[in-house]
Amino acid sequence: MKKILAIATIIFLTLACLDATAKPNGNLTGKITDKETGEPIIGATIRLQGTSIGQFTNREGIFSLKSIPSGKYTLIISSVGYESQKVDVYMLSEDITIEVEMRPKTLISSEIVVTANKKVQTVQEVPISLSIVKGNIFREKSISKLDNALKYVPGVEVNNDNVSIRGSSGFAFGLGSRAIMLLDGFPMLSGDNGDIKSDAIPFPLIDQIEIIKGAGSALYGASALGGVINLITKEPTEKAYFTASSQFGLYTQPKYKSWQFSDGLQATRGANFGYSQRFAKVGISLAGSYISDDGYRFYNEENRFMLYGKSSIAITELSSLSLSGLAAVSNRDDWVYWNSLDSATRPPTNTDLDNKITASKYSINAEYKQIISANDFMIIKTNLFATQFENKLKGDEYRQSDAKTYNTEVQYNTKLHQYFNLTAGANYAYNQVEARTYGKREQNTLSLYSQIESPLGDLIFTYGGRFDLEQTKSIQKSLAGGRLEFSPKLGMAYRTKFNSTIRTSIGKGFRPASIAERFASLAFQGFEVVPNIKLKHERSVSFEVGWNQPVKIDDVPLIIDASIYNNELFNMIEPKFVQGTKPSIQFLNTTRARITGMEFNIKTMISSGFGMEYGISAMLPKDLDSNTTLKYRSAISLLARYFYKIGDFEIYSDYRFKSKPEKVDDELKLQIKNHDARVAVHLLDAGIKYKNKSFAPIELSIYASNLLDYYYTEVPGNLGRTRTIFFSVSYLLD
Amino acid sequence: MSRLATVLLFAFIVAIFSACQEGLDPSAAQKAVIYGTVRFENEFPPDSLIKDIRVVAFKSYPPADIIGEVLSGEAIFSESLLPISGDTADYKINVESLPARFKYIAVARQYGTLFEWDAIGVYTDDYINFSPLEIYASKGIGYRADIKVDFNNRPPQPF
Repeated sequence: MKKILAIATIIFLTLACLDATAKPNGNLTGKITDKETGEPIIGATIRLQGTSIGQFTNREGIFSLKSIPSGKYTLIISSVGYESQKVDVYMLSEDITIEVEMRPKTLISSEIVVTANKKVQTVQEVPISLSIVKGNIFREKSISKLDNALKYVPGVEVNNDNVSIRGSSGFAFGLGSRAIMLLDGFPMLSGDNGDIKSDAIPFPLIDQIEIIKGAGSALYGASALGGVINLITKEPTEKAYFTASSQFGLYTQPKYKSWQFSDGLQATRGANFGYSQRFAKVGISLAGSYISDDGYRFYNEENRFMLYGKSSIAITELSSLSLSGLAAVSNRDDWVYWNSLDSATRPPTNTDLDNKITASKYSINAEYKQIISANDFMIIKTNLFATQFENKLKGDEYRQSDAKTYNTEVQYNTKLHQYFNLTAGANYAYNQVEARTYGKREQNTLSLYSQIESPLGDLIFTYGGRFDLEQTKSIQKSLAGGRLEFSPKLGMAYRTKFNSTIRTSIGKGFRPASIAERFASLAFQGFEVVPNIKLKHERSVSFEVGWNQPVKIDDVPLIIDASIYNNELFNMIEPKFVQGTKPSIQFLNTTRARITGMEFNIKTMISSGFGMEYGISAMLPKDLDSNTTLKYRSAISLLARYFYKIGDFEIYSDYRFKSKPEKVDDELKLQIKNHDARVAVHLLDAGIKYKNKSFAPIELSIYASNLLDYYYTEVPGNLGRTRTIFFSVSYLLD
Repeated sequence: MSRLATVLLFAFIVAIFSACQEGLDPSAAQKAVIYGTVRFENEFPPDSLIKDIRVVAFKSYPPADIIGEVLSGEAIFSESLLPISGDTADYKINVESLPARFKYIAVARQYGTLFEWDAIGVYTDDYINFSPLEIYASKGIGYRADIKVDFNNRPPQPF
């Protein structure tokens, strides 16, 4: 830890010197207005493309970027409800003032993203498929966990805690995520299990979730084998953003008597708030939530608490520092699987009902941004993500783990030439685990990466790679020698004269085994998990070709996005049943797999306020060793969403379909009754909300999840959530 | 509304109707049951040689091995009979795929690893030759099959 701080201090001082030598020489001021009404647009985001220079418009719709060195720039201007715009400006020695009119959005387009290449871009400039989930999904659907939000993304499957992007993951008891999760660019995978902690997110302040589909290790390193999930929080603006919500949900009784376990209705209740505002040079963000959930099954209760805070300070015109922290604590019943299909809402009869899992997650993050010149900027990030859990059982079944992950990254962006924009960086990650379950372990990963983006007219080439050196050891003794990975990437995005974009990319991903997969030695609900310290890295190579086209059919504007892809997976780490006195599981490098698929998405606004989105995904997930279908993958999935605004009311509905997974672990039948009970998934959600801003900044909504009470499983022995009706009241100031 | 919007809306409504199917149904797991009492005679082997005892119903006779037949769906089994207090233990096996003919029903003992099992009793009325009795299971019927385990007179091993 001391080493990390020392490195960070040296870099900080170096940057301070660089700041002193920079020679800014022009101011750019502008006013942003609504094209139809002429009203100023408050809180619009202004960014200089390829730099980290940016600002929000004030109450008069005015922005002012100071001390900009001479040169040609592209301004990207975006605001909720408006079509994003690009404006070219030439900075000379004198100040420049511009006026920009923005069109109200009639069709979802030109979304701004930051994850694909670690800088601000429009979606059309990105050479890889990327989905965006807007932050209001948490309020609209009464969601407070990340996994539930990701279920509404085409090409993403969620099996309990396992997030699978384009079939990259099956079900591995939540261990070893094949997608890296980031919060504002800070890694948030646990140091022991290498898993996503879905409840450790400041959901009331999430602006958008960006999901990169395909291997992303060339920029993000370990765990970005199947993709990258980056949660972006709202940036504070001069105008206060404040939301406070209270939800109450009821699980309706299952229609089958043998599944009814209580006389009354089970309930879920919660409250949350989010606040952000900028005061001169200081931005403040705060969020908190409390959830108490009885669960729709017996012995499935959960209580959760989350608190988040962030402060960002503009040190000078060209440098800023932000500090943030998050704490999430939960206490829940240790539900693992059902007693049997005819008592699917109860745990096995021998379950100790006094057992609870207590878990906590903490993160502390710091980021320093320094603009060095018109063409150069640098970002230093350092963070700690700590997780802790334990159950209340005694003897062999007692489980406990404390894990800390320290991460420090230095990123440097520079424009070497008109055709060469360089993004390069170094990253050091250190995992420290002290667990009864896994022992005392350490894992170090040192990485260097570099990527060049070459804009050649309407064509943008991206190419680069990353070296990662990973080593895992016990406290005294090295157990696994250093393993070096090189992850290259090559991509291209081409804007045609028909306003369409063609993209293609190929890239490599890798994931070292988590400490849990290597060292787990535990008894778990009748299973015994045995260690395997010889696990190798798993690897993937992703290739895709995509096409994005805005069109008009029958005067209805549409955006069509289609892609085909092929993912080759090597040495996949999977839980396997091995010989032992009980059903024993060991993680092994067993599978060579190939996943070939396609995605097709349509978005349209049929008329003002009436819109729809469709996403269809089909894939062939093949286990090449056994020439069978990969387990826990649905070959076909469909998402359909409708929304209709009538006056102060908005009606919205989502339909999700997943075909029946062809295969699950047959060995589970030794422990889980009716392990094979599974069907295709058909889920309909619908809601209505009322908001009349002129009366009061209050939103009332009723939302039904699984409205038709369809019964299904996503993993063996686990009935999916039954019908739940949520009522919520939100105070919104935005 | 445009033709395109009509088509998409129609597709959505069709999808909603398909969601009206009810999905999983607990009755699928309650179709037939084989149940009974296992009676133990003479002295039990030491505890170290009894890791588990279950009743297993096989569709084929002679079966190849217990774990393989279970994993391939050719055999189904009861919950563990352990711990056994006294000389008897009751068991129940739910039969989900019907109709089904079970040609060999045995009391199986795990004496080592998960893969090490032997037969210590057979559902039979012939405790000299141990010729197995069959059960043909049909929907909604419970079949009683009591089994005697004599540790001094073990059945021949079919595995």
